[in-house]
Amino acid sequence: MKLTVNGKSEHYAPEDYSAEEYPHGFTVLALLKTRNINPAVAIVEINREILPAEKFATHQLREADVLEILFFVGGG
Amino acid sequence: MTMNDELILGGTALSSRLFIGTGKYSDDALIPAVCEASASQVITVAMRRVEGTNEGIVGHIPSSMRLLPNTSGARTAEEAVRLARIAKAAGCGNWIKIEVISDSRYLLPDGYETAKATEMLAKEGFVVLPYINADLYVARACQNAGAAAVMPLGAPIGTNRGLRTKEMLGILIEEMEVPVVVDAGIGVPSQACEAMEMGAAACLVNTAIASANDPVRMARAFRQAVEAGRAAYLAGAGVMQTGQTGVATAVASSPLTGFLR
Repeated sequence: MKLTVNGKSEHYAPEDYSAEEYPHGFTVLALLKTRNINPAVAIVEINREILPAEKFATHQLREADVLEILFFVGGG
Repeated sequence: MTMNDELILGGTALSSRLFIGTGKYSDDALIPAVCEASASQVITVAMRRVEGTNEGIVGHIPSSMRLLPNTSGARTAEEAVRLARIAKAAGCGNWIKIEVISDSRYLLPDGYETAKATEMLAKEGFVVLPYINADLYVARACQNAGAAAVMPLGAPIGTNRGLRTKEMLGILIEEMEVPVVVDAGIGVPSQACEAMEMGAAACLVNTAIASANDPVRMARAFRQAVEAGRAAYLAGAGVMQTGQTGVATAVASSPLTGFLR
């Protein structure tokens, strides 16, 4: 599956995500875990739509999705 | 000082007129102590793409603070609007500091794009605080677009050069109906004090506190300076004597009669 994450094209194999660990399949939560991102600090936008955090565990990613994964940093 | 000298912004009454930032701390763990020492109630944050296991800044900010996310990184009104909506959806509340900058050398805000973003977000119910040049027409455009305050710069961001735009800030303070918050460029407490003496509604200080050798002590100094400047403004300053050459003759403070001879 091809995804664009934070401006970069990346390939994922959804079959690698075991049903035991990820009962909802290749979800946003699965992607965050793969990338070692703490879901508690992540803000996720998919195809320009903001995905509420409570949907991270159930929202399945689809071919050609464009994601922005943001977080809050220090700024003035 | 008058009782209940509060700054009302977006329907919220603030007892502190010092806003602080979260950028550039050598150690983000200092932030809670800086919040306490500054007595500030408003703190800015930025949004960026996540890299690795970085936990971000929010965990360091006391829950009593009101978050003021900025739209730094936006080069157009549309990008600023997108960031503002993301910040709101992420639970940051509905306050937003508009920052639209496409000039990377001086980091000066784009007034036209800023006013456009202000209008779009004010219509969506955001409490919009635009970062602007100290320019009357841009300030008016933002005010007319629904800004809750305007935030003109004293000097370019992060320069610690003080109130280089003082004359123009004075004009904005005279002319604006919304509060004028001096943002950017303030380097030392005396400059924040001066802005408040002039009638600024508040100051936003990040770099000057974060880059001090002792940020907690500097935060306290800024608190005292902002309070002193505000009190002086409310007290009303005496008239300054001016001579034609710019040199004033003295005006005695003690009686000029009844001398012992």
